[in-house]
Amino acid sequence: MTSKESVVSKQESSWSDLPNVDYEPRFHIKVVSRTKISKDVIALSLERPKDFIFTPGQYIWFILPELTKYFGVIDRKAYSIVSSIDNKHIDIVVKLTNSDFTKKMRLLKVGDDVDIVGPMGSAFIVPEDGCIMISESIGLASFLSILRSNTSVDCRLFAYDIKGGALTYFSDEIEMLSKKYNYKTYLSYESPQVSDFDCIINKKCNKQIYIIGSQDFVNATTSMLANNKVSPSRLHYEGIYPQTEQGKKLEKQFSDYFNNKSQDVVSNIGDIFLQATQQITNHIILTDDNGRILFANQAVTDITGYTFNEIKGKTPRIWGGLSSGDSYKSLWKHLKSGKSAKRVIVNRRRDGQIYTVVATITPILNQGLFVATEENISTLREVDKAKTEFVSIASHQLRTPLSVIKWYVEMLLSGDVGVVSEKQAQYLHEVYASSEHMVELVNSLLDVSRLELGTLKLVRESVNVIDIVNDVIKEQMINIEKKKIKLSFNSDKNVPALHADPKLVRMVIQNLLSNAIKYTPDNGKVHIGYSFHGKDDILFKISDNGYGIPKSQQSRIFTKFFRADNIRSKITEGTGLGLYIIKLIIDNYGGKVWFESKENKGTTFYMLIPIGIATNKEREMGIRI
Amino acid sequence: MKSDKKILIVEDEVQLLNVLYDKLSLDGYTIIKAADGKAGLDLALSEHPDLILLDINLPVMDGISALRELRKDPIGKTIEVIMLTNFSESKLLAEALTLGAHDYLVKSDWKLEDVVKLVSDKLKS
Repeated sequence: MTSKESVVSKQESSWSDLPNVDYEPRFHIKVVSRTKISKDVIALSLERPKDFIFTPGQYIWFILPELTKYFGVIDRKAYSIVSSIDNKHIDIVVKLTNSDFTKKMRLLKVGDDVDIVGPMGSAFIVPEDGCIMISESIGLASFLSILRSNTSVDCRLFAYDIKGGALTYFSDEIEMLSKKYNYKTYLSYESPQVSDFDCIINKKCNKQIYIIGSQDFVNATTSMLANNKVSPSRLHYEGIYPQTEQGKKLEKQFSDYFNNKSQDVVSNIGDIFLQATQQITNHIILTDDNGRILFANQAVTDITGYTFNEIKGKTPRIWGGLSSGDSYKSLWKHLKSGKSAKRVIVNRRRDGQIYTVVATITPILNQGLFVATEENISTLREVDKAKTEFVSIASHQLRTPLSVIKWYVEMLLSGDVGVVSEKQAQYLHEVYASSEHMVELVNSLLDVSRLELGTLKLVRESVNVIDIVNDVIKEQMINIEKKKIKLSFNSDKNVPALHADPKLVRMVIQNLLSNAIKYTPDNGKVHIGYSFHGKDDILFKISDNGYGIPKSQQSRIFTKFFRADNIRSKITEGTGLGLYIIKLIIDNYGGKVWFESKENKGTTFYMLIPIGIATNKEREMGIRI
Repeated sequence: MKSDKKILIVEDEVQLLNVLYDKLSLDGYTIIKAADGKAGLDLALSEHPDLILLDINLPVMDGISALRELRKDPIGKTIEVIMLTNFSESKLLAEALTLGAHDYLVKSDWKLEDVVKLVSDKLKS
């Protein structure tokens, strides 16, 4: 059985077995006359529904037996175009194809009752300065009605009648109108081609573009234009959607609600938002001012594993009791003062699985209520972790080839395999220097990934900072002497040792000192200070009179790979990771790092580190970000 | 005489093995090489080199296990061994040192000339 044959429905049905489609307005009217316009085009004259206004160019839908499925989608086969109106009749035009719809339409006789939904028109209002309309045939009637009524508007029409529609019927009229009013039109029985839109692409036609048609047509036309650099802001899409009476009512309700015009719509709107809340994937709860749960949406159950009944009247500690008691106390204190709070917290599902969320809690003023939402970021965290592990593995793999490069270059430079000219030596030095830069970068990347993953084995010992500083100075002596930097180091008497990991302390001091030296010109000054700060902290200070950091870039100084513009060109070595690493380390120790700087005057970096931090068990386990 | 001295290099990364081989042979030493721990151990036991440059991460048998086996042998017990590392294996390195590795060098951080100096120092003692 071919598809043509299968069109005739298997079951007998009559016009009275009409689907219960609730589009409105819906009319039950008679066919008054039927005329054949051309081989494939018929005109039907229908009784005009009383007290209802139709305009030429609008669309009506026929509700036909067994064509219910078409009402889920705007299907051109089920519409017709109102071509003219008089007091008594609506004339519509139908192009007959082999579609189910037109097959039905062929069966209509004078005197038959039909059900129609209409009128529908696009929300299309022609801009005052005219427009370009690219329309598949279903849009034509719309355009035509515009042409008829807006004779002074400067428009241009591209009409495509690909599968059979109104073009046949309207083309003469369009040609006539456009000649009369000097519109430019392009009518085609094929799909749109890029060459059709020459004037748009070449910017000779620069008006706003309205695209009307089926989804395929709209997609194809949009791609064609976008691929040829027509700005998307010029493209508009007009759909043809019926608005029901109900729809109009709701629109007013929402508008009133948001404009605070009417209080009695609130409960209805409340139901609607309740439904919306139940559907979203973020967990939302409402609690009273003691944190007792009054409401939880479906997502709460999906994410935490607890049903609403299991948690009603209890507090979120059921799934969130993993952080320390102190952090909850401080959170509640913050909230009770009327402020909203956002925290990353670690939760535990009913089945024991651990997951991480961003929780946002907002007091609803004067109502004694809190709204708390949680967004699951566990996947985000896992992705971040995987990325860091990747960096670690990749960096590792890079080390061997870098050693190989450096060692062969060393062999070449030392004349092991032949005399090397001055120029060759110079180039080889460049290769060597670049490889060293790469090694530095790889080492820094590995440090960063180890710190972020928490895989560095950390210890807690008594760290003599003064010894480390002296050691680091010795290491940097070559650079200090080369640049003739005047270095001074002052420390308070009897400053106690730090309780920390010596590797990390060394990393921090080494980074800061090498930066100070690197970013200070020859004959500059660098000063290191180490002193008490109150009873509990130690202040480490390092200042230089070098290039400084421009004010506009200061906020980004601690971000990964960031290097300020003013030194980028002057000093090529530098990974942009040093300060990021320092901040990671110092933040983890509960300290603070900050700086003061003025471009071309110098920079001072400060680090405040608590002396005794051994008491916090979590911190013992290594750095966790 | 340098050429009297036999050095065994056990390293699975071919290019690294080659550059060390090239440099040290140019310097006049006799070099034997192996690309995995088992082959390295066998060569060490059969050839009795004066010095072994032994990588930690090796296929078939890792560097630590090879070292452990080597130290069981009466002659293997006393051969000079320098571990090659990229410094991410500090725990293993410590173990190697307790097993009698005499020193270590960090491949990615060391200059070739310093490697050569270390080798010559170890061979003198």
